[in-house]
Amino acid sequence: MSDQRLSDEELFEKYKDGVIPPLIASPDSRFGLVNGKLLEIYQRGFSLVHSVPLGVLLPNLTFQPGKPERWNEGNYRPNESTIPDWTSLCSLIRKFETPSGERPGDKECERCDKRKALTAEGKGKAIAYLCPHGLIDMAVPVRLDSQTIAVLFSGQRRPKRAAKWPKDLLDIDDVQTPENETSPDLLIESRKRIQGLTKLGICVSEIETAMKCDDERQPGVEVGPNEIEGVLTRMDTAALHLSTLASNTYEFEKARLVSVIRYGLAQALTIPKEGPSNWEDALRAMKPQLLRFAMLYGLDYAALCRIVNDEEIEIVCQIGLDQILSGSNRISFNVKGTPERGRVQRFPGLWEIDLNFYSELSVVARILAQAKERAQVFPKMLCAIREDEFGFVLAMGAFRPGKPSLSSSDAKSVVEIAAVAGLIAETLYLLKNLHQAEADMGHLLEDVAHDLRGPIQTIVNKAARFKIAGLSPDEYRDQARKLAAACMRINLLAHRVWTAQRLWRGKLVYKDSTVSVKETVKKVVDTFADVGEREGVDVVVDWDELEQIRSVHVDSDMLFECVLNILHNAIKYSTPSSAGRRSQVMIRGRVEGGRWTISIGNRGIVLKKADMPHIFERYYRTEEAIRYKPEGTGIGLSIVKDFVTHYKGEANVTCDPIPGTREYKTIFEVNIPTETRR
Amino acid sequence: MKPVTTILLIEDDKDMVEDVPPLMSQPQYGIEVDTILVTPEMDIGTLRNKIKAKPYDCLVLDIRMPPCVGMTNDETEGGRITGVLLCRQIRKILPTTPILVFTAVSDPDVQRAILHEGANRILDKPAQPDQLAEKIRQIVRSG
Repeated sequence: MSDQRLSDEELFEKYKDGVIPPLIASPDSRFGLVNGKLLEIYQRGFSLVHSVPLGVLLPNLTFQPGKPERWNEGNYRPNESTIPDWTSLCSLIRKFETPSGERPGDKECERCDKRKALTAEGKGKAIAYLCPHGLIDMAVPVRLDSQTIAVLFSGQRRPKRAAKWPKDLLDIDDVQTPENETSPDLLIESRKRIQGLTKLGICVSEIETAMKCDDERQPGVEVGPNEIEGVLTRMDTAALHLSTLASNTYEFEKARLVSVIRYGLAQALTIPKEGPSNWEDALRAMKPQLLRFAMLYGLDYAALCRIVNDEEIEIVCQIGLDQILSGSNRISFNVKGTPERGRVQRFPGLWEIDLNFYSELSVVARILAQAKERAQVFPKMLCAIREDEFGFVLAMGAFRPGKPSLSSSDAKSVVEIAAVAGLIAETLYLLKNLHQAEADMGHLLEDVAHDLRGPIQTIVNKAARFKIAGLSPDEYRDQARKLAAACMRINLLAHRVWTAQRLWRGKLVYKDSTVSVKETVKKVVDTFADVGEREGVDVVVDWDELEQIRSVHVDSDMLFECVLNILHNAIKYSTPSSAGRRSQVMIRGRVEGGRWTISIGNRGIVLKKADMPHIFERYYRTEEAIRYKPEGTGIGLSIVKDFVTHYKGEANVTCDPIPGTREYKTIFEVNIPTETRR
Repeated sequence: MKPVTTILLIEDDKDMVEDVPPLMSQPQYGIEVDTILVTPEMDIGTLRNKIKAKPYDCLVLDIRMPPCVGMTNDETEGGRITGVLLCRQIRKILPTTPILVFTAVSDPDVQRAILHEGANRILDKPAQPDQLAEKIRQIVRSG
């Protein structure tokens, strides 16, 4: 079955294990044949581009036209003949060696070939172009039996009057669609265009040789002007056929790209537990797609990056010209000046930036300027950005000098890629949070289970002791009070968890009513009577002060919960008095400046300044608190925070050493505007 | 006369320290219980001395307790595995005394860790006094 008929899900299933069919290509030859479908070509072929001259042409396939009206895929036949060698000029360029033994021309030709091959492939069109060394070259995509099997190269002739010719891509625009295949007008038009190629001095004999037309002429023989027209006619028809075979490639390719990226996303999503660093791994895993993207658009450099902080960007994944950022994947940017030179061309979501321009797109421009500073190569770079709460994800690429701007449709594709990359990053960012939430929830459940079993064991033990004869009435009462305290510990925990889960799920609805603060505090204090007794802590309330507050308009249950949680903390973390007396927790209240305040103070463990900004965060527990009382969930004060936030109030805490002792006085204060009615 | 089994209960829960001795001293159990209430102020050296002060037939140890002085929050994972570290310390001074872990920690990783450190058996809280006594008898018998 052709991949074209497979759904995304089926494609994912098929390729998820990374099984890639073999590549049939000779690393030494100018041409190679990828014996796979489009996906494989990109996944495998592109991964070889650093080491293999791509120039993908069939070493063992020949076009045998026969009669045009009967052309079909059968016109391609295996061919044992050798591949035409480079032209002498091309060979000279490629073989030129520097004193250090490097062959820069070789690399450059490879890069150029790759780019143009993939441009032709991506566009689904044959293209003719002027190479940086002034040679005319052609790249023709070949598509056979639902497979893009090759890109044919031909030309490689130095034009005689190069100055008059276009400096870059010359598309053969009108010869590639099935719809216009039989249109006489278009054929005439396209022939005119092809005929225009004669002015470029293309060596038609090479084209002819490469395409093995059934002409009787010998390969490599120069032809005169009168014969060119006939050759070009055949070439025109051959190109038409080849291009027809290549039709829909581009659209198919784009669809496949999305599929591949979705695959990457799916792959990322199936990584279950490495949450925090996953998004980086996923970006790295996108390297083949990034490479594809760069080659498709003829970029010499492409990268996926993220903003680390205000001064650093991390290149997570990059391809092409690695020397740009060799040594470090992090670029620091600190460009303070804002020279107004340069210009910005904006497509939706896409910036093409002259790197002298630093101002409006400050961050991006700075990054790119830094990259340019290191590279000293590219006058322009391309950058698509997705910004979200995660930060930035950038897909960026660099143009070589003289490269024209992208078209808006190309720009759109780049934006799509960046958007999908961003989506992956964003998804993984959310995954990271999800994993963290799962881990937190796991700890919470563990804590809750532990903190439930403790008092249950106490209840079991007390119940057993009641069965033992010989308890005096006082002992009996004492044990009963401790039993009640154990029950209350369970009740408090259940209550707190219940409130927290409603709060976190957005199910908590505040129902305001007129509430007496004094009565609420009394209810809380009564609730803690046995717990306080067990912990050796007395709760002292300044009832007169609380009386001043009178009634407030809040949710009565949440006010109760708020006071209860603070008081519970105060009791729990009170330390025994150094004089051997019982500890004391003091509850006070006041009304001033249009706000009512409840404060609860105790003598106990230290609360460091560094902990204060976090003390109301969910699950947060200080080192000292953990050391003093390992049991606990760290959710009580987050409920307090929600309560005060809801009523536009504040929750504050202070902690000061008590002179002459090793104790600290901690005061939690909640203050709420008196007028809370809406 | 039936020989008395003596155990040392190492706990941070006041109620446990208060309740277990009278429960286990019932005639049907015949277990004499000494206790150590673990507090954050307790020094690890003091704790070690108390443990080896007297020969016991068995030690009963909790897992989640405040880290003693000399232990860090990090190494005890905020008190979550204080008992695991204590078990390691105990095994250095009492290599053969049976150790029963009586705990409300049900995390299998933590339970495996304490067994790895030399604990002999684990009894999950909550448990009836009968179950605790039976477990102590088993562990003492099997040595």
